[in-house]
Amino acid sequence: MAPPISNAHLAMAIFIGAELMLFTGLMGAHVFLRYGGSEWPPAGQPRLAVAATAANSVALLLSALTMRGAWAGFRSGSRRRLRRNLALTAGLGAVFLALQGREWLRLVAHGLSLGSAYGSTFAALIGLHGLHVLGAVAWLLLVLWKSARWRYSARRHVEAELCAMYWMFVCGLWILLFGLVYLG
Amino acid sequence: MRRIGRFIVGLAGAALGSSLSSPEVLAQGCAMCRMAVQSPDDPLVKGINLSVVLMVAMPFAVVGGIGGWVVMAYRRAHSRAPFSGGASPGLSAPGTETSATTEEQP
Repeated sequence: MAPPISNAHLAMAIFIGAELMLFTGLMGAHVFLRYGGSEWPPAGQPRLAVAATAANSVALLLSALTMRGAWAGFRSGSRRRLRRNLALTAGLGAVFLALQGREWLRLVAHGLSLGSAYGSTFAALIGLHGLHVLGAVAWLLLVLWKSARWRYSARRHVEAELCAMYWMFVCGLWILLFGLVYLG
Repeated sequence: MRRIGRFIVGLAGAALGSSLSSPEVLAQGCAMCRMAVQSPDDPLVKGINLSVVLMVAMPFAVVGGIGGWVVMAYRRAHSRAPFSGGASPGLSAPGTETSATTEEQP
């Protein structure tokens, strides 16, 4: 009898756990500096755009829904559904990245100092998450390209499922980070 | 193998030895933190406490989450085994699913 969880899925879960611990270390530093200081954000540093980022978060959360649709596509073997949902997911991820990039440029233009505790924790947490989203979008595009070349079927789609797991992690992590950095 | 065993025994001995030391001796390595934590009104204390809670809770959440997922998957597979002869399609090893491929032409 085959194991209920394949080695690849288990390895991805452990990898995601390790990634979560990496972010936990950074979140711990942020919490320490945020609540250990008297004034946050420090004087002279720009405020974060909560409303614009909340709207941007909706794009990322919508991409989790479209990824769920793609997941259903892998399992049923429906290539059209898979490709449509993967393309939508990658598009929403790209929108998220573009809006985050614009927000970064605005903050830097308003004098965000990456040398300060405020700026460095923001850059470490949000920047590292952005790099993860960028990597996940690249992986999604690879999966999309492979699905266009008929590389997956209802029986063979492990790589696509791993990509979906990673994407769900990136989306779930953003909820934590948004709550901590923007609303905390 | 014997080397690894010696290493583990040595590590356990060191941990036991350090746990037998008095709190004053252990706290010497972190004198600044100790002084800061002794003043409860200091916002630094709140920062340290929240940070410690977050970093202590997360490993339990990660290990518990992955462990719970594995246990649930095995339980589900075990409960389905007499009827379908295998695990749920989404979690089984590649090439073991039983669902048919309904490939749509573009």
